[in-house]
Amino acid sequence: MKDREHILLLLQKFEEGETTLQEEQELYAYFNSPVTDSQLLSYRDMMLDYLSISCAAPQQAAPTPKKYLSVGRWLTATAACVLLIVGAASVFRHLEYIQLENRYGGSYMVENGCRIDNLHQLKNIIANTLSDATRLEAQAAPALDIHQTEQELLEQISDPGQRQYIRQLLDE
Amino acid sequence: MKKLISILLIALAAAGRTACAQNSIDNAMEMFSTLGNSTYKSIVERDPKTHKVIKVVKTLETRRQNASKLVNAFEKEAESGSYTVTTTDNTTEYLLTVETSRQNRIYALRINGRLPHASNSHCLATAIIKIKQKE
Repeated sequence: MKDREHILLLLQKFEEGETTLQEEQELYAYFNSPVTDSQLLSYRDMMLDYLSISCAAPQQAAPTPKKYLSVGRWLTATAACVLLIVGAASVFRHLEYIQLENRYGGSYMVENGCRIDNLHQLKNIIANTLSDATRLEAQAAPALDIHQTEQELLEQISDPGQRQYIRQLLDE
Repeated sequence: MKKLISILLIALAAAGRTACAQNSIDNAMEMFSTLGNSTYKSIVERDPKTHKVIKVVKTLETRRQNASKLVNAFEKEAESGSYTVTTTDNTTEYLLTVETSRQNRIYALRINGRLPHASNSHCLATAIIKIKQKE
């Protein structure tokens, strides 16, 4: 009686689509064995048809959880990226230093008695100083032109005495 | 002949004086470079292909109290090239340009502030030595 009520309950749930897999397997096992209850016998063929399909079909594997990289692999990947970036930065810095050395080798600064030779540190100072020097050269250019003209004039004078005399006049 | 020798001797003496005279400003700048409250820069610009020196720029920024010795050095070298002094309201600028067969030299000294002990008074000396490129 108890079994019959239980099976009837499962059958009702099955019709409503609310049975669990375990319950369906329970139904299949019951109807697969010799059924003696006359009331349930009428369900046997139908249930065997339904249940044989669902039970015979290979149980679809429950979706496996996504495989995430283990913590160890994440750390390794991160460390490799960091090393790559640091390596590239070091190579770039070294190449930059070679360029600076080729262009400004021998430059230095003394600030409050402390000497600085590192061209990386001096890079911006070098650029600003040369820029200021260019402005000063432009300012002094007329004076240099005059001097060059005087020199050319003196070189045209073959007599050394006359040349010296004119040089003295120009210097006055 | 005697006249020629004397002219040659005068020319050599003038050249020697010029050579020595150029160094007094450089010497003054280097002397002050090791002092406290001073900033000295020596920038060498080279041809990246040949590595030869194209230009040397030296600057000295120091207190105005040190300006008098720098001014003395400039006035001492005044006759060796083109020398000008420009004074505006709060600034005095000395400019000396010298050209030789091998280089152009520009020396500049700027003194800010009328009073030597004014908080914003300082002086900036610049020496530019530009090497003439052989054609």
